[in-house]
Amino acid sequence: MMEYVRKASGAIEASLGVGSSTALVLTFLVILISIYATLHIFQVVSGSGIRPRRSRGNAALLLGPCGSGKTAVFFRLRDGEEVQTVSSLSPARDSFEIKAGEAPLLALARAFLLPVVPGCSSCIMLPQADQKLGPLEVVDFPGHLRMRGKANDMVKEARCIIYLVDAEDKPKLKDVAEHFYELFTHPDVLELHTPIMVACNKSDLTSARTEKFIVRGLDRVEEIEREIEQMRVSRGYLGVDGEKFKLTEHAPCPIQTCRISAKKNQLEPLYNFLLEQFA
Amino acid sequence: MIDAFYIFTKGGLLLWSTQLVKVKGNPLDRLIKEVLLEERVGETFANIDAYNLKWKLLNEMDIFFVVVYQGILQMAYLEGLLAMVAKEFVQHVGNSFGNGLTIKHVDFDQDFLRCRQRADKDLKEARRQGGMRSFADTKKGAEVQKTREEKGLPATSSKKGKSGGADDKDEDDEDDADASKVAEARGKLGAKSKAKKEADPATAEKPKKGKEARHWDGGKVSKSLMQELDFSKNKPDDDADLAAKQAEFLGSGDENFDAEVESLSSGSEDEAKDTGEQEQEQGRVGGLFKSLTRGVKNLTGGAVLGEEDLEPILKKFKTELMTRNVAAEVADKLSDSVRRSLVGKTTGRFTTMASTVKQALKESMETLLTPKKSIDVLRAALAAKNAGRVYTIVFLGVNGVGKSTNLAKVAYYLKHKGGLNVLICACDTFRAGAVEQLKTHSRCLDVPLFERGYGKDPADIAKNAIAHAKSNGHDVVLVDTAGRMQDNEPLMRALAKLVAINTPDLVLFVGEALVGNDAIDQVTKFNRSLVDLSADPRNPRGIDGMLLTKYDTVDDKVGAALSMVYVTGQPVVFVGTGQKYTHLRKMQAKEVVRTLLG
Repeated sequence: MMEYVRKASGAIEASLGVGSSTALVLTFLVILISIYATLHIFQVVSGSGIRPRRSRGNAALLLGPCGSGKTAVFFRLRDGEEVQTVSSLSPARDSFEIKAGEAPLLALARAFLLPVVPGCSSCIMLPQADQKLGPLEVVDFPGHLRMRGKANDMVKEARCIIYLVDAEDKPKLKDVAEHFYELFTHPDVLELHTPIMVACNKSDLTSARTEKFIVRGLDRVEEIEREIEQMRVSRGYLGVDGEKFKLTEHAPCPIQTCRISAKKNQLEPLYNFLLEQFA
Repeated sequence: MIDAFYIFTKGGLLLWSTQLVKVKGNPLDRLIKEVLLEERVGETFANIDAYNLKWKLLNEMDIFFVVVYQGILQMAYLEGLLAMVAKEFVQHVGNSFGNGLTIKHVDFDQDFLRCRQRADKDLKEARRQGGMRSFADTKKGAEVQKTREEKGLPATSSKKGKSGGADDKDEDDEDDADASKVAEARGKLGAKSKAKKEADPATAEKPKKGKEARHWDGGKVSKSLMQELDFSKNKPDDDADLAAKQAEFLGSGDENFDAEVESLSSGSEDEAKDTGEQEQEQGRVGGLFKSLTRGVKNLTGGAVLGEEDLEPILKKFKTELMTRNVAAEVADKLSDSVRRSLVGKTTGRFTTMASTVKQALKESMETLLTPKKSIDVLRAALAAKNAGRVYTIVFLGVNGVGKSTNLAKVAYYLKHKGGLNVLICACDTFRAGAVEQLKTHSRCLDVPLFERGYGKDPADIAKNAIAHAKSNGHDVVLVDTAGRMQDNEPLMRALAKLVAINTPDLVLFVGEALVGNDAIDQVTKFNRSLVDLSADPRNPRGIDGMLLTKYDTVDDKVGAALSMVYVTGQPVVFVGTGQKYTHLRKMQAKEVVRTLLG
């Protein structure tokens, strides 16, 4: 290193005809400036500038309206623990391993016996008990409507999206439908076909019989489809003319649906979905 | 007294909470959604439902401390309590806190109880002294406390390995370490001779003592005050053990304590003089060194943002915003909010402070401008049609902003995009030619007009129009009102009556994009008079959204959008961008932010 500096200063001394000490100082200055410039270039490159936007990101993104249980699911996935939550103000992101077989056998059996929403292929798949996943990055993004613009910006960083819906909160479904509309018309989703899992959370709250369960789960999806149908009139773009909008058919990205319960730790469909996406 | 106390992270984890009295409703949730998420963190106090909420944000760890209470409590008491709890909490979790995701619940009951008792005792003490406030209770005292904590906190959280309670000895060591660091730095810079250097650890602490000594003259000193000010820190090394013990047993030994204070204060006065000079010198040399390191860190990132760094940067952005027509009050509050959310944060790698501030400001403005409810008018109108209702929109605003013109644009939009059957209702029964203007529009758009001429009561006309629409199969009624100045009391009352009687689905405030500081006045006064005179006082009805006209004429001075949205919390539903019927757009939050920040 010093050798090189001395050589360089010698060269400067010769070419500029200045004293040796001045040349040394000049050399150091040149080195410093070049280091600074490289760092700046590095910063620009590592920023958004040059990277091509071909592939999806590498994170599992948790979206959904306020109070749908995103933070709860986040910590369930990470630690298997139940936590107390308030409305989030900023995103929480962490990368960790997910063990699909973490849930006790009983829960597994129950999950398997639970009727599943049709069209959800991964729900039927039996979770592999010993399969580990990750470490993968999971992002819990605040659901407040004011944060929605930023949430949509996150899409390009996502490998897949888990969209949580509170199964009991009917009035929020209008907002959910609107958000789906925004996602479906978002350039990133259109380009990257980010898969979305629509998970009806809080299925434990419906204490009714199992058949009613199915109806309810479907109900929610249908409700969302109805709302989107209305938005098609007011905004256009989506779906096929003359056909009713179907989430699983007309969306520009693969969509699956399932029902989960963060409280009862019934998250098998999510494990399977993540296994599928990150395999 | 206080009703509840919450500690939660920005990530949404409720770390600890207690309800001393059952809290009705969910004031905390409303606080988060209506205050904290609306970039109103510049304040630290809010009134929600029957409750008062005061909070403290710890930026280093992204934790909020919120106290909920009813009635009136001394601000100093609450501030003291929050500060105490924050300090205690940081000590409790220690450096196991990490990125805020490791700790999910904290058992804090005991510590909180202790803090509360201490705060209560302080309060009683202050009262007993015949209303004379102790230093710690004054605003200045709280500030001193705060700044001291802000300086001290990162150090304690990073250095402490213990997760257990307070340990005075630890702090002693730290202080000494700091002092020796200062000494080292000085030695390097060759500012002092060796002999003086040896005295440094002692002298470096002296100025503090000198200042605090004044405070003790006031009279009795409680244990809590003692712990807050933490005199044991300043004791020389060999007294560390004694100090720790004293701090531990202070509750019982007031006399002992007084004696200690006595000795401290008498000692410090003597030394105050000759430390003065040293301090100055140290300040100059240390300041130079500090500003150098700061300068480097500013380039390479990793600098901790302090109030004094943020002030000039924010001032620059504030003036920039104001030149782009953002109302002064709004620019002030916004920069306050950003400052409060940044103080104590560390800048990212290779980001300057200015760019960090700009990014924060950009994000908070974007959040603000993103509507918090659906602004899809057509969809709402279609839903109303499906439900068999008539959808009503009332347009209001000051004179000459373009209410009628933009009403015509909305009529065109609803008619052509949604295929809806629209009826225009002329409720401007005041200005000459207002009805004729609408008649022209109605002819051009081929939309029927409901009018009853001039001089009638507009509220009645609107009511008749809605009834007429119902019976004649119209889907949407657009009500045009007379323009009025926000200070014209009788006219405002008439407007409120119109809204109260007809309960429209959407009350649109039409405002010019050209307006500057007056935007706030207009929009608040219109909102206020609607709320004050609404039919159901429990469920008041204000403005639901804004329509910004003449948007094409303002170039980069789009600040009015931000001002209006900030003041009302309601979204901009449409912007008018020209004279033609098709010149009606939805506002893009990102675009506005980009224009505002240049």
